[in-house]
Amino acid sequence: MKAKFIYSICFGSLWLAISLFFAIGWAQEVCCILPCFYVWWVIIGIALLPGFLMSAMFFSNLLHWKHKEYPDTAEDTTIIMCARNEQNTIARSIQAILDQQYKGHIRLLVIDNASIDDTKQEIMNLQAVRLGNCSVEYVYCGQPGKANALNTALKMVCTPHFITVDADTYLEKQAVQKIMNHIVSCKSACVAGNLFVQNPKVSLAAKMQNYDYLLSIAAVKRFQGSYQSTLVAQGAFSAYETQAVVEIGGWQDVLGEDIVLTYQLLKQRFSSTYEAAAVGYTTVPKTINGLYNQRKRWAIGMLEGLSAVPPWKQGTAFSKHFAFVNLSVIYLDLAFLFGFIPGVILALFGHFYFVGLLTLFTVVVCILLFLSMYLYQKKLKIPFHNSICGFFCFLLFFQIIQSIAALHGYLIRLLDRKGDWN
Amino acid sequence: MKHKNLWFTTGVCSLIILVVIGLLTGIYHRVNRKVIPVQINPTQPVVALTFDDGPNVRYTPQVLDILYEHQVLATFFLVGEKFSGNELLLKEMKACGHEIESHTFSHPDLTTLNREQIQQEMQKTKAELKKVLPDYQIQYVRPPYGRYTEEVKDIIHLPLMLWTIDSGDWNKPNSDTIYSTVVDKIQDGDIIVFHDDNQETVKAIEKIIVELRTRGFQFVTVSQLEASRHG
Repeated sequence: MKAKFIYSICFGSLWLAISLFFAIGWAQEVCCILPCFYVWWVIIGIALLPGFLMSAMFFSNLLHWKHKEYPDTAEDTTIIMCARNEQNTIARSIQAILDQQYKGHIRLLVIDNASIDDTKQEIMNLQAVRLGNCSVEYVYCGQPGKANALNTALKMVCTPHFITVDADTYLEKQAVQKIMNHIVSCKSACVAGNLFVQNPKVSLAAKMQNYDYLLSIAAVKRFQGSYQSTLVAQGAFSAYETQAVVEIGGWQDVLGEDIVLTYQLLKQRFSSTYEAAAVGYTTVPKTINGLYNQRKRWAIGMLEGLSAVPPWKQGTAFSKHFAFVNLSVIYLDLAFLFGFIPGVILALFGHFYFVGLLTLFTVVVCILLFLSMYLYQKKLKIPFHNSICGFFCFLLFFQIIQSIAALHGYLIRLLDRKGDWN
Repeated sequence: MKHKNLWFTTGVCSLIILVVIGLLTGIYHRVNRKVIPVQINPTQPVVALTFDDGPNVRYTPQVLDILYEHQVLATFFLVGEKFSGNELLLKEMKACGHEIESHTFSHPDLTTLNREQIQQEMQKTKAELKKVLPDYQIQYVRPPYGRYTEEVKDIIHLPLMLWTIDSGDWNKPNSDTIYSTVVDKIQDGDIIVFHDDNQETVKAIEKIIVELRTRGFQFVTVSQLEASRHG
């Protein structure tokens, strides 16, 4: 594992060295026209650092191309599903759990987090449909907040491992078996599942997110998971070791409770991995505004995680590295917005200072990464939707929305909770 | 919530536009530089600095900065195929009062070309220049490598302008060598040839300007030099 990580970093560094060789001349040219500090700030932020990170990730994912199969487990498990006003989606999500092809018993705890719609009724309807290896329990948690609901459920878990599934996420039939096989065999404290988009056809925003989940998010999780340092075991679909979660005191009442939990587990040197074959289909926001709000929350969650456990306090060298990379994302977002976008506009005026032939260097590695991820996901033989329009919009516009929303999130977090670093 | 997001996005877009405006202002600031004044005192020696093979995106701006800082006029013998992408540099040269002349379109040895090819070299350069500076008229041509025949001269139809001192910078010496090559030989009325395509020339230029100025030399373009020679 360590060797593969070193090879990947070496590959990334080699890419960086080659890019730097070209970038020095590039920067010297542009420095004659524009302020030197700004020029280097942009070149590092839009070409050198992303090139290094993406090429290291690409190479590592190539080294881990073969998907590991684990022996089937029949260990009983618990699934926690928190719901707050989810009357439209929860029935399908529960039904998907009832339809699981799992060898052990599944105890589904559905936590009604003070819903005021017909969520309870929907749960009750399905509670009556009891299948052989699955039982459904309704639990009411009057104190709003996902962390409260999750902690209420945690107290009721009596299996060695449990799974969290969002009420708007439905699982592929083998998902529970695959994620349980992984966590039981690998002895990880948490395992992130592979999320696909449930509603990729509803809008352009959803079509773009389809490729974000399929190509970007999955690539990052695979890279981090290969070194037992997946930074986010997302609440939408992940498995946990009960004892480890209890030891760190469960979930904190923050916006990114799943991020903070994973950071805390990594700090205690627990391992956090990723199972590509355990697929859940999650409902993504239909509108750009919904997407914006989600990414804003994720950015706040990331800062909450980094604030709860700063990169240098992470447990292992791997998790330290990935947490520092996460921290650098703030800079990358700023460089994209205030370096790359102005560069594109300057190019429209005929000034190819930042966006020109050399920028294609980063695009090459980006295409390689996406292509390899696409082929990897295809290899899993789990269906997902394709849309050429969605893909091109994802390539052209997604990062703009994401970076603006993330910047909004960073500012909210920094202005509201200043000086919260431990 | 929707309004807050919209406001924030608008704010970020405004900031991006401000950055673009700032960058464009920086870029166009060069183009709008004031003309370097010409005041020739007939009792003092004159010299013409000339630069071949440009424009070069990396080194020409540095040369232009040095010339502007020291208020020195010069002549640029440019290669037509390099105009594209360097339009601002040409505009800056004109704005400052430097002279732009032809060094052909693709820098061939003109003695190896036939009549048609030579004419094409001249016309393409003029056409490219016209795209950037529509009113500008080329007055002189400097044949690449200084090589020409009487036939070449006839075909070109414009006066040829060579040099009297070769700085030797095409041979890539260090800046001190370029400096001494020039200042050791300098005389009133000399035309010095440099190449604004390397860092050593950039380094040498500043020292040469300072030294020549202390010796009382005045800097002129080649047409000013010709005019002063002819009364």
